[in-house]
Amino acid sequence: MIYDVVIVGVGSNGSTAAYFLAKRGLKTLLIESSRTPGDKCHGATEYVPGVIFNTRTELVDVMLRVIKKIPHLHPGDLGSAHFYHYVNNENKVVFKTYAVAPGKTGKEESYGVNNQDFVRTLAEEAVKAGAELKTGTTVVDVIREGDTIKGVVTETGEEIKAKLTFAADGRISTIAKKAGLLKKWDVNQCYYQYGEAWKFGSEEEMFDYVEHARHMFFGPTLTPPRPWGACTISLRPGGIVTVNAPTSWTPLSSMLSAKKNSRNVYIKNLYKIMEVRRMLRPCEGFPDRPFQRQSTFMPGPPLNKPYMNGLIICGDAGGVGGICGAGERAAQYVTPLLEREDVSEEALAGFVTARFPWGLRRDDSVSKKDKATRELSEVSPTRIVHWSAGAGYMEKYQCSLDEMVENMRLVAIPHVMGTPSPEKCGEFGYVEMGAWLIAVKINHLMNLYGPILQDPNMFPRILKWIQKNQQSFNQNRIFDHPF
Amino acid sequence: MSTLIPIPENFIEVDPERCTGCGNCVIICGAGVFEMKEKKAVVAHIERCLECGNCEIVCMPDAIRFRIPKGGTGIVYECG
Repeated sequence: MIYDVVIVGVGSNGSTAAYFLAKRGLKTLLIESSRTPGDKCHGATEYVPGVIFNTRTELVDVMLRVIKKIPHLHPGDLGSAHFYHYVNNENKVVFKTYAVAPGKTGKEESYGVNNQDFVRTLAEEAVKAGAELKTGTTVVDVIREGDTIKGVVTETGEEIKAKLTFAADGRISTIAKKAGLLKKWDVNQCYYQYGEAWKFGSEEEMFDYVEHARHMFFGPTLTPPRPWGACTISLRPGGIVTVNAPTSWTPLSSMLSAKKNSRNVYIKNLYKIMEVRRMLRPCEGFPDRPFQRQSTFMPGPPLNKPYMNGLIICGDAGGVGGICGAGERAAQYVTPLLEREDVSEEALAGFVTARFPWGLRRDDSVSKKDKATRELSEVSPTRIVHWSAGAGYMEKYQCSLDEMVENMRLVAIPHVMGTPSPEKCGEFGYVEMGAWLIAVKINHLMNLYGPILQDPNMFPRILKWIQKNQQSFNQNRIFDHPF
Repeated sequence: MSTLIPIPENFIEVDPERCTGCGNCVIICGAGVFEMKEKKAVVAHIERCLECGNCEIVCMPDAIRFRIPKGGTGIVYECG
């Protein structure tokens, strides 16, 4: 039997793609190496998975349907859960801010879920839509006939044939390698990620100790010589707290040349902060034996050629991240091609552009002064955020923070917070900058001693506010900010 | 908690002929899988592996080969 599509890798993108393809009546097979979909999914605990409200209603619908079926944290459960906490150099929380500007309307929805629950249930949706699921099966090779990929070979030697092979097998993509589209990721452009998870006795206990902070940034203290880095802590259902070391800004090559993996330094520093100690103390094994450790890397840059005859490379496997969105974009792109039975290299070539969120697509009509923006658009959405959060961008283009921000209007943010107003979202669905930007500015301003603040007049309002409240900061009082 | 379903094969292999003993894998591995023995990297604690694949990327002489473990084995994350 020949499938229309064989999808390798049942993560968020593979499952989403399968859902959309099967729904269109295409004969779709999902293959996963683990026993249960989601078992191998790990993003170094960095993301707060959630739902996006935007114009892509089909995607939102299925994500919402999945989330409603699994344990999730909802703002309603969390009270003032939209807070971000900021911690100063004396390890005190100096102020709390809303995660997204529309957060104040109370209309947006965002959810915290576990990757495993989410992916497993999403795969179930794909199966309900008609996809076939084969778990516990590792794919070891592709079936190649001339310059065309005709399917995949599993570890038992079984050949599974398909008109289109759809690789969504993650950063360590067997398919991309076997097809010859990826030799190896570049150590200069891959970023290290490390995270630990802790578990409270119950969700209630977690809320008691963590005090409704949904997502905390511990910036200035932790990341010299890069004060713009931040360590994040986020809450998950079931009383799980995840901690992310700010190594996301660190290319693998810099750790190699320093002969040191900085993850331990960051994590140790984090656990020295009184606020963090107080919060995590009740967790069993703290601070030496985390509930779970995760290590990974952000792949990149995106493959120049993520396709060949009969093959498409999607998501992290091709260096373009994105929860569910990348899978949906790829599925929407290949559906008409499969319907007219043309999955040749020529037909798939447009995927080079189509794989990116709309706002990040290359556009030759962009004026030359936007060169920097275009260059940014060639890296993955998540990468851009980390880049920009770092001052690498400013260093590279010798620009001010405001100029950087100007160039980042189309950039998606990885904190998945929703807004009911589509006009406030990018095609990718993430809120475009908004309060995150404010957070960046404030974070930078918090580093008044640092190299970031090139010109204090850039942010007159925020600066004025900070100056006005300087006394309160010094008294370590906690209060909201007006932005 | 992440658990490990025993893997019946060496899914990480170091080719001692190619290994230059640079130690990149030891530096980058977040799980302490590698050790240096007689100026060559060896897979000392494969049971600790978090399956991130960083080791293969940082191995400049391409001595390390990381494969996806056999179906249904290896690490199982609970809160990824």
